[in-house]
Amino acid sequence: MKIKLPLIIITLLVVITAIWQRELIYFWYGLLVPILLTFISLIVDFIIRRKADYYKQEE
Amino acid sequence: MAIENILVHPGIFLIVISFLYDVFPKSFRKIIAISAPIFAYILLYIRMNFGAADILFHYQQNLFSFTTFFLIVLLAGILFALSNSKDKNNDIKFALLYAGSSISALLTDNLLVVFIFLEIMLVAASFLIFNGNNKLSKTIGIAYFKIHAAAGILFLIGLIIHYLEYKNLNISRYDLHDFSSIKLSVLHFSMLFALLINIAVPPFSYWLTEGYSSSSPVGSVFLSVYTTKVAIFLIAKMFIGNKDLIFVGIFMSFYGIIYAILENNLRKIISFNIISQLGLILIAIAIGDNASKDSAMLMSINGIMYIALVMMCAGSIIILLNKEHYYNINYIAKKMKFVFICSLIGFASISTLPFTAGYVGKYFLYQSDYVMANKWLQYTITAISSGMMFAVGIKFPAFVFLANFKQKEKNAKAATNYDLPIYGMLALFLLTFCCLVIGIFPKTILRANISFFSTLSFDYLLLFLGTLVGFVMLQRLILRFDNAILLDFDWVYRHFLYRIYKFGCKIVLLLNNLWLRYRDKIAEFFSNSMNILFGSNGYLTYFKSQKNFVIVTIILLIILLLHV
Repeated sequence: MKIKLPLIIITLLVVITAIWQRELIYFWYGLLVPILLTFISLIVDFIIRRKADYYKQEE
Repeated sequence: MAIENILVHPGIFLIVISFLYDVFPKSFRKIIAISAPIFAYILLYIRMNFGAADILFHYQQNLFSFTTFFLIVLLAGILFALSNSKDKNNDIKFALLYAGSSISALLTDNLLVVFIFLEIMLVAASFLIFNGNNKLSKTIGIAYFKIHAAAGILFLIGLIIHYLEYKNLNISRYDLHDFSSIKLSVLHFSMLFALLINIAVPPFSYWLTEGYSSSSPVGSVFLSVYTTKVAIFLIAKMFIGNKDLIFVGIFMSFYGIIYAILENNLRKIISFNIISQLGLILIAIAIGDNASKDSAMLMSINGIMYIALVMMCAGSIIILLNKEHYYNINYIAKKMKFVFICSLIGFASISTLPFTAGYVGKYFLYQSDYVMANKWLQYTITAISSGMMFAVGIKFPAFVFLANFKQKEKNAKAATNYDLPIYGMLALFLLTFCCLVIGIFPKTILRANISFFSTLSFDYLLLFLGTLVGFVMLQRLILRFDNAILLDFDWVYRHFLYRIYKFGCKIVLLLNNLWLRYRDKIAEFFSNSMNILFGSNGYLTYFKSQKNFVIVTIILLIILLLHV
């Protein structure tokens, strides 16, 4: 994906909203939650992942 | 109950049309299918304004919006079926039966009527899954039937105890902390578990994800709307204000988010989002004050619209490209512009952006006194919203429409026709238009005012931007979760317990075989031993005379005493 233009737009929006709102806590929260969720997902994935023919093997 | 009350009922009308659908001449079926939801709406309007309440029809203002949205989705789904479905007659017939029975279950205040229509819904939904004609659709359809039949039995147990206890069949509010008698506890918990199964609370959630993804693309649009929304409405009637359900809702939401992150099947991602969404509605119901009641109602009503919309977009992609997983799809935003734009509005609603249908519901949740007083709950709800943005609202359009995975399509020239037929475009437009109207002019469905320029809307915009940056950072990591089977809770009772059962059977079989093989030898061994010991020339013949037996016994006793 070409991410340069979207990143510029995001940065601009963040700056404008932050100036309006005068705080960035929700931005950092929005950044932190996906990182935590992805980390948990990696652990869950390690436990529950099976090969695609798993059910065939079972049968 | 007069006969005209039954006939002038939108739900019963749809059920009658579904039964008569095959009788109509083929040329008329299209007109009848499209006009059925419109006539049902007219009947609903007449009953709401001029009708009297009875067993089948219970008047409430909220029900009008709920039923109207059910009918809009039915109309859009029928249009979608007319444009795309391979087996359109069966899909439309069972969709009419499904929608009619769910509207009937919604509009009544009588538990027995609810039970009967829930069972009709079960039959119609199972047939919609069977119509999928996949390898798995039969197996999953039967599994769907079994789990809902179990929920139906629990509901019936509750219904009987309710009648024995209260001598009426009216839906009433239950207190889960009332342990005054065993009968009441059984009533409360059987009703609760029946309804929790119907809203796909893990570990009983596999029916939703598996069922919706193995039905036909048209069938999944209908399936995504009715069962869960009727069940959540019944939970709101019976268990509103039970704070324990907050934790069930939180668990559901995070479960849905984590699985949606790991999943790559288009319809399964949306199915897991439905579970998260239902978790959030359950939290609002569990809080139970005025603002959260409004929030639960609005989240359910708006959820009907945008979930049906995104499911229809996913269905369009599957029909046009014949691909179910996003890693097989290459940059289709330009080839399917209309579907892309419509889906963006749906995913913006899932991401709770201001001026969308999703924002309207959550706005009231933050106005709740209980949420304001409990900061941890406020942050949890925000985390759930951020998770839903990340796992579905951003991931789906980015990976499905915008991503360019590795290889170019081999047959690019042959596969250029990605336009939906006119009915399909009309269906998508109808749902998109409704989502936009609710989002921009929320006064169409509620009387209260919503401020789009409040602190919350800017907070949510910042949250979205933060999540977007997080997604850009983590996208390569998420792409690791490619083609694989993800075990769900159903593994415990569909595989683990089955394995234990099979292992037990093997042990029993082994013992049986050993017995069959060696029983003659064992019998021979025992008979020989007996002969050696007690036969005519056996070792123990000495003891046959009483005198010798007494002597030997005395000697043995003496030895024993000396030893002690």
